[in-house]
Amino acid sequence: MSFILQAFLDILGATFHIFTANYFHQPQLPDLSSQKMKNIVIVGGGFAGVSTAHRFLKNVDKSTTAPYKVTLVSRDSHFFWNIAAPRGIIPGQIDDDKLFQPIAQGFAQYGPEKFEFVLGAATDLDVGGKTLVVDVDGKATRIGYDYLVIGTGSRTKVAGPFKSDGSTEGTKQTIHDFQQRVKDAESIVVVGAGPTGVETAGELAFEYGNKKKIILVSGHAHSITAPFLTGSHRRSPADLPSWRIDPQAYPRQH
Amino acid sequence: MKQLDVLGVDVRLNTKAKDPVTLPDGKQELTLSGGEKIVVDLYVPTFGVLPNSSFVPSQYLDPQGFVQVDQYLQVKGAEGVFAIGDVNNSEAPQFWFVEKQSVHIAKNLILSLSGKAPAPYKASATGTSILTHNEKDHVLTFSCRNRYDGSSDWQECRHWPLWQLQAAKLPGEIHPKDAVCREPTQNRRRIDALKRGESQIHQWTADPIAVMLALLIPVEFPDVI
Repeated sequence: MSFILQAFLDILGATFHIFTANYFHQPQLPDLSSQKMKNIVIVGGGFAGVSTAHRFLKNVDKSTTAPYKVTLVSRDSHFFWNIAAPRGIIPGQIDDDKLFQPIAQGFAQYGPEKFEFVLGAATDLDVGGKTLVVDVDGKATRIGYDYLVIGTGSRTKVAGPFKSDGSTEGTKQTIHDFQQRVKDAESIVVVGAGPTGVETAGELAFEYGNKKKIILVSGHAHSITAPFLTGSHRRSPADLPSWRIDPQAYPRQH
Repeated sequence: MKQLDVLGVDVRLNTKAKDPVTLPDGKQELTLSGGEKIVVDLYVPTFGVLPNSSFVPSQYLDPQGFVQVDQYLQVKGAEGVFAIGDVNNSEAPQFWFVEKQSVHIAKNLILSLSGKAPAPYKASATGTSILTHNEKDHVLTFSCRNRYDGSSDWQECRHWPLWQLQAAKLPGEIHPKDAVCREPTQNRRRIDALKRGESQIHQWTADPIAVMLALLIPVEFPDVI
């Protein structure tokens, strides 16, 4: 019966607008709030996933009334501030609760209608069925999406303390083990002179100076980044003397 | 080099290290490319990353396992699926780029949700950079390869702040008059020379921290080292 009533009201409304020459007729904005809710699924509990979820949730309501829900899937319960890891492996430098921040807590402000945290590792992706499969406590859980953002990051080729090792507990353990090994070591070799290697060598040398032997091995003629081995965040640029380039790094071609 | 001495780091450049062998006393023995063996208590490998993409069907991955994305950071051939950060094949796996891509994708998601068209992502041309030294005119040039479209072409680095360093005079190598022009377009012929194999190449990955500092520090190269 309700559709008859609806039709009657529509006719009544139309008649009213004809008589009032559309004076009361508001231009119709597309009513996005009546659209089907969009499920936005973000995978990854590192910089890519967590910061994207925050950026979206912080700004979305300013632009649209369309309904949505964000689901953040992460195998880590805590966000690992791994930029600080080169210093984090030195015992007593950074506390665990600074290096690892609970992810779900940071999103509590948005409420359960708009945000859900799923602790688990993505195991499969069904693009045709728009479904992500997540291992939650050993159970395969299927999560449907309208939009999926993959931000699962990377791991080091050789296991180490600079990336998540699969869970927050595991990563914490790895860091603690590394701190102990750094403490006990009299000689340390850092292999690779990318930003992580350079900073790690700089941090170790800054902390232990002549007490430990620190070696940095680079496969490249990397001397141009050498000035940054001084742990540049501790110094102002004015403290850095002029650059010196090792001529051996650019041999003559004769 | 002086700074390293101050901190006491023993730096070995142009040196490759083989995977370490654990000795009976728990120490690590590494064989360096020169044949030298070093024995240390702790080995800290920091080179190279692998993408965490095992759950993504292989048809969406490149041979190295990175998720292949188009100019919208959308996974090629997968509607509604995007990949950002280290895991995609757009830019170098570094924090700076993760941040940029995250900002972009969050905006695009909001646009899509509002029924508007998403904006394309401009990948910066700072993937892998190279320093070329042209023997003919003794010029140093920074060029870089953009991982974004998978092309292997070396491109000029229009937004590469290390242009500042191009006035570099290397002792005995570069004549002071040969300061490099800073206009990228004028370096095209040098890049061409590189493609023809006439230049020597040193290669490393762009270090965004170094780039930022390079902007702040007035660079001065001593005439004689």
